[in-house]
Order: sequence, then structure tokens, then C-alpha cells
Amino acid sequence: MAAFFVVITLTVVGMMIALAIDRHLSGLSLIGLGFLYGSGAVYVVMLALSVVGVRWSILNVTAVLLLISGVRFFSLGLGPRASGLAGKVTMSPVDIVTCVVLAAYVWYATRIAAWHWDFWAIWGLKARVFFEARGIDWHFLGSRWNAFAHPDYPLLLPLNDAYIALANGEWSDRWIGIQSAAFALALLLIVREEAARETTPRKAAAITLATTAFALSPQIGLADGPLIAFGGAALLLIRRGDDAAFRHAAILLGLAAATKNEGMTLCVAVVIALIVARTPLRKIAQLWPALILAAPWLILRAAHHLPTDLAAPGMLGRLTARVAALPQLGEMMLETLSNPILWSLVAISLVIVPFRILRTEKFVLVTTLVQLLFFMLAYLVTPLDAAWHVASSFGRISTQLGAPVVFVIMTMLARTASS
Amino acid sequence: MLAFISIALVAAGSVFFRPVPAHRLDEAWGDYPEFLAAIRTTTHNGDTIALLVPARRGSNDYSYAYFRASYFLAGREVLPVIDDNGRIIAGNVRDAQFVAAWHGRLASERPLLWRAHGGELHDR
Repeated sequence: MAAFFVVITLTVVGMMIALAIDRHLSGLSLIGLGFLYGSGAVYVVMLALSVVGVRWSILNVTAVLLLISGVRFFSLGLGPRASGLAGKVTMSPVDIVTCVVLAAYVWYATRIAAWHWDFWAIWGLKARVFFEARGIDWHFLGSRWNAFAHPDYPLLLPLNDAYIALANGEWSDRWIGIQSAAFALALLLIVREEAARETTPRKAAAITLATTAFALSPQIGLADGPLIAFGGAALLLIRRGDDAAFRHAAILLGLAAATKNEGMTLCVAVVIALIVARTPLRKIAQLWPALILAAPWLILRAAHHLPTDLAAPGMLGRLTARVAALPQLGEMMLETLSNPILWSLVAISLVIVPFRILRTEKFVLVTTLVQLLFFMLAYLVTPLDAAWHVASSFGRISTQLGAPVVFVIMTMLARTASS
Repeated sequence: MLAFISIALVAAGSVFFRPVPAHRLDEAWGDYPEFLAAIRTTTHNGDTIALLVPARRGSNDYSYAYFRASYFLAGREVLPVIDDNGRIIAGNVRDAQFVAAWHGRLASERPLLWRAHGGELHDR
């Protein structure tokens, strides 16, 4: 059960960091952002200790975590005084249904030890290897025999898992699902508060309930859950648009990039969508912390020559050879779509909603579209069999931006009904 | 409003229709996890172990066996014995400190350390 205590510890640490960034932050968002920042902080600390050659221990990692968060917390003067996060949420009976769904998910996530193939081969494997080495094992990542573990993938999740093992004193994947549930809960708390700003308590609760389909990732122990949380929360906060929300979104975007390669393309997609939405460049530039958080891993993986399979030699040739097969590729993507009934309802809703309301949600919709184009590009250049690659991954990655999409669709439907 | 309610209900309902999680692959591979656990007990971090399993490289079975071994034996270096063309990777067999074979016999001069859980472990 070390995972449970780690979740609590990281939430407290992260809340101190969140308050240092925005001292008036409170309510559900404070708890949600707290856990997300806590997991980001443990990634930064463990990465930094490993780079400078300090062997991890539960004591040194926790001490640095507390030091950083404490210094930031007690220097509150650095944080801006004004904030848009009021933190007042009136609960509704619909929230009880969401709690039941969440409870079912916690059961699902913790019923047995992590069971996904990609957990053994990628995320859990790296965490376990790093835990044994008490640091990032560059020899393991660089070995040609371990190419299957995708050495280029960002390390936020493996380092978080390794921290749980440090707290536990030994490796155990039995309760790793608690961490997956925590990421999901963190996003739901932020969703609930964002929805409460825009509509009635009952509708806000229904919007939160609707996002559970994607916020509660079935991929227990994989990085999709954390990416859904970081990316989903970032998009909703950017959508709100005030300076405080942008500050949080910038950090969350950076953490998304530190979680999965799709998080890096998400940063690019966000910038493109903001430009399309005619956001002033000064405002877009406020997202610079995302770059700072994404950069260390990009530099390290280049320095250690860790290969990215998509960029294997012959990329241009594969792209040109497959462009003609794009319609079939699109068809396969549709066939493997996760939750097709829900996506169909989302598509129907896009037709129902008046255009004047639809255009107000340009940012999230364009971001999703651009991210989808990145996915298609990846399938076009993959050195693997494209059909196999789509079949084995699109169902999973198509859920990544589901939560913010459902959120904006539901808010648009609520506004349409009101008008 | 109908679309609003439908989305909320379908979304919440979809969470309950997920397949119940199970370790189906481990169950299909009998005592392979126990075999790997026994190797872990015998070996130490930093050791290299060449692994032979009765599956064709590139197949799902081979991937499962190799990935699972890498996971169970984290800290040790697990080396494949068969290459993509089905040939023995002599360098890995020669250089590894240990050779593990599951449901297979290794033609080798290496001393046998133990035979258990459907497999055997050879020392250098």
C-alpha cells in the first residue's frame, strides 16, 4: 500500500507548489493540481539526482521534494495575488453517480497487479530497472536488446513508479493501480470545478460524469492515464484563458510532454490551435514553462543516442509509399476507435450545436484535430506494419483527448439548451 | 438536452462494460513466472542471463517470454538466444554468465545449477 501513501505525500507536496504558483488556489482544483504537480516534482527531482550521479533513496528524494515545495510555499510573496480559481463548488446528486463510477474504477484498477503487456515491456519494466539501479540505467536504455522497451519514451511515469518502490522498500506492482486512479481523480476534480464555473451544479456534475468515460483510463499502469490527466487539465485551463490558468496549463503541458511523446506533439498542437484561435503571441509565449519541463529529457535522450523508432532511416520513403493508403488507414482508425457509441454521440452533437456556439470552442476542437493529424502522420512513417500499429495502439491513444472534447461538447449542448 | 443526457449516461455506462482484468497470459504460460522467480533468487543485479524459450522470435509468444523475463529479472541483463532469422546468437550464449532454458535443453558444457518449474539454469 506504499502507493497510497505516496499519492497522499505527492498531493501535499504538489499543493504547496500549486499554492506557491497561485496563492489563492483552493477547492477541488487545489487537490487535483496538487497531485499532478507532486508527480511532476518527483520526476524532476529524481531525474536531476540521477543526472548528477546521486543514488536515489526514499530519504534523499523526499528531502529534496520537501525542500523545494517548502521553499516555494514559504516564499508566497513570489506568487501573484490575484487568481481566477475561486474554488467554490455546489455539489449535486449527480455527483453521487460520479462517485459510484469512480469507486467501480478504483476496484477495476486495483483488483489485481498491473496486467498490461506494455506495463511489463515498457513503463513498469523501466521503473523496476531504475529502482534496482537506484537511478536511470543508461546502459539498459542504450542496449540494442532492449529496443522493445522504447528507450526514447519520456520518464515521468517510470520515475514515479520507482519512487513508490523506494517508499515500499522493494518492487511491487500489486497496488500500482492506486496511482492510475489518483491521476483520474485529479482530472475529474479539475473538470468538476471548471464545469461549475460555467453552468448549474446539476449540469456541471453531469459534464463531469460524462468525462469519466475517458478520464478513467482502462490502461492501468501505462502512461496514457497520466497523459490524459495532464493534457486534459491543461486544455481546459488554457480554454479558460486567464493568466493564472495559463500558468498552470503551461506546467501541465510540460508534464504531459515529460510523460509521453504524444504529450510533446500536444504542445505543438496547442500552439497551432492558439494561433488559429487568434490568441495574441504574448499570451502564447506564457506557455514557456512547458518547454523548460520538456527540454531535459529531449537533451538527455539526444546525448545518449536513444533511438526513436518512428524516425528510423527511410522515414520519407515510408511516408510517400503510404500516402495513397490514407483512406484505408483512416478506415482502420475508425474501426479501432475506443468507445465508438460515445464518439458517435459527440459527432452528432457537433451537428446539433449552432455554429456561433461551436466557434467559441475552436481551441479544444482544433487542438484535437491537429493531434489526430500527428497520430496519422505517425502511422504513415512507422517502420512497423501500419495496419498492426493502428490496431494495437489507436484504440488506446484515441482516448487521450476524449475528456476535454466531451467537456466542450457537453458545455455547448448545455448552452444550446439554455438559449 | 437529449444529447446532453445521452452522452452522460453512455459515458458513465461504458466504464461498467469494460472486461474484468485478468492475468491471462501468465495463466497460459503455466509455471513460467515461477521459473523466472527462481532465476531471480539464484542470480544478482548486474548478472547477464541468456534466455532460451520454445517460441519463434518475432512471435507474440516469444515477445511475451522475453518481455516477462526482462521484467521479472530487472537489474540483470537478459539476452536473447535466437535472432530474427531463427539462428542462435552465439555471442550472447558465450558471453552470458548464466543460460536459462524453459521447456528446452541447451547443448552446452556449462554446469547445470538447477532444474525446476519446467526449465533449467546453467552457470558459466
